[in-house]
Amino acid sequence: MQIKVFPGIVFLIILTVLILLTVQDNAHAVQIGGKIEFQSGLNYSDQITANFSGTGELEFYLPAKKDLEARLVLRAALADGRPEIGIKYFYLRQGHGHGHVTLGRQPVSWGYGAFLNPLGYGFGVEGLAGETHVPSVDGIRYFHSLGDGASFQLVTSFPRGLTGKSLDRLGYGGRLRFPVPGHDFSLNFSYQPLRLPPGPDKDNLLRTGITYSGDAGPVGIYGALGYFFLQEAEKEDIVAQLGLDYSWQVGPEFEERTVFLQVEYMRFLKRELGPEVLLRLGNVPAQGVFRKGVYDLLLANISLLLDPFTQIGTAFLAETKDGSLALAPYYISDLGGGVELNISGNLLFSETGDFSAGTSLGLSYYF
Amino acid sequence: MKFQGKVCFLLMAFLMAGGVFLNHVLAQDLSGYEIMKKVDENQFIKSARIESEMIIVDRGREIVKEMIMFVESDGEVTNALVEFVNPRDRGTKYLLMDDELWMYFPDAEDLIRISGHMLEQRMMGSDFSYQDTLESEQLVELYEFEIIGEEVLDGRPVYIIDAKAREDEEPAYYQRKFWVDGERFVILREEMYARGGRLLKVMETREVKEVVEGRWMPVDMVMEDKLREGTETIYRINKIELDYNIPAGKISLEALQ
Repeated sequence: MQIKVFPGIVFLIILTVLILLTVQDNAHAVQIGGKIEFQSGLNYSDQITANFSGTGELEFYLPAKKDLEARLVLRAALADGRPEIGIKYFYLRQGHGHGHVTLGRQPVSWGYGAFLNPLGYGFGVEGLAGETHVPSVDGIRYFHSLGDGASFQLVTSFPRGLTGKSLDRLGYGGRLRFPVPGHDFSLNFSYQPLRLPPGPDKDNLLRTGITYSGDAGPVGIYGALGYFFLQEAEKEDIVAQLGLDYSWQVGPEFEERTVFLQVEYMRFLKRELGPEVLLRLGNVPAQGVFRKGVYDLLLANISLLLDPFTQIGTAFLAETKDGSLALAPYYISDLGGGVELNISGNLLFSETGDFSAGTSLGLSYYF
Repeated sequence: MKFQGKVCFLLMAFLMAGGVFLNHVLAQDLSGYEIMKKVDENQFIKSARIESEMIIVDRGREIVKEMIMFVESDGEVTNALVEFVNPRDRGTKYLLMDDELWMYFPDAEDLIRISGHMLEQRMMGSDFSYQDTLESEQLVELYEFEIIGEEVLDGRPVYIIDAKAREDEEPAYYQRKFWVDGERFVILREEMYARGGRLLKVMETREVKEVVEGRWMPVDMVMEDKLREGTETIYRINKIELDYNIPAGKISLEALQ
């Protein structure tokens, strides 16, 4: 018999009551904001396919009550004609003298400026070709300030729809962050179940390591060094990542427009694991170059501000195993009135002759 | 209108030539340093809470960024927290702390250190750099001054002051030229130059306000980046509370994690 330890619906009801308690004195101050996004695309692999999707996010800006605050973000999606409505974030945060405790569905992001964060809790993608994926968990997070910007945090996450049978699917993590002038260091640890196939039905990934960001003269640099261990498969690896970013003006002939360049390289040194294991931690859409058997990734993003509202650029992804190469050009323009236009494409080539291409047009409205 | 403008200009030029107006107002015999000291007394912000908006204009198109800013400065180092409140950027925060820039992403609730080169870049695509917007400088600590002229600007008598960076300082702009109101001691126009003498930006004050008795500050300014054509950014202060008692820990890394 399956024992329901903390059924999702009970959890949501408890959180709802708690949130209502926090806002009862200030109900008039609740504000609403969010965005609506529509996207249509064409893809070619063996055949041409078309798709249309729409997403919406609605955030309730709930007033904090003393040290108690709540966040509620609802998300609706329409993909392939099927509507889905769900909760993106829904949590309560209780502050104390040196930090806070957060309970519920929440983002947990341990970024340091990299496109791919191999040592985050979950797997995050940040600003690659305009795309960002924030890891979120159902769980409890404790944050404690150590002074002078230093802090540590501990997180425990449980799978959605937690039951007694799935208690072995809990995840644990911790981060010690210690910025010093000119540098930002953090020591990370995580032990999390893998969520997506392929691979054994159940496995847990342990990761620990250090991340860094700072400046080397006019260039921003960052990187990570970590140890990975896949428990059931008994595979281990060392991950090294190095990145840099730089910006400059391109000269009077181009009206001194600003160019941003960011390049990073990540390698699994023992070649027992690869970047695809990170995809199995979360909901990041699979990319062609993240295939099994790939051990390194080179990523670059170059963008140009055409005017104060418009950015044009391209992302570049490559791996050395079989020379796969992906290009993702994009054009993002703020049309004013809260409306943003996004046109993007992607091209994937490999030495084995695989080729795919796609393009999409998106329109977002912020309110 | 153009004709009227020319008449006004000629009249003003006549008055200036006769020295009638300026001799009356600007006869205080102040040095460049003393004038800028008075400007600092007016415009330098030790601590404040500011509600403002930035209107970025490019060839007829415009976008508006609204923000709330907390600033504290000792004249050399400024710590500031700015939070955007317009729908597109709502919750995005920039933290300037000990000359380092941090950005808070509201969706991820994450705080990331921004590389140093970004401080000189345009904030949110505007004509203001991050330094222009976030730093509160005590100009007399950073520059050497020389009065190079006096004139009437928009009906106000002004000193024209040339400022060059002190040898031991590295301000955001090596050279600046100020048009300082001779009565209110606020900057009505400013030109910013690179070390090689290239004009980078021009800022004009469209409105000054007596924010507390006897203390005038610009509250509506237009910045033009001279390296790109057709753009300007209007920075408008809607509410300012000077000597604001910023809650302990408000401007800190801990508060954004």
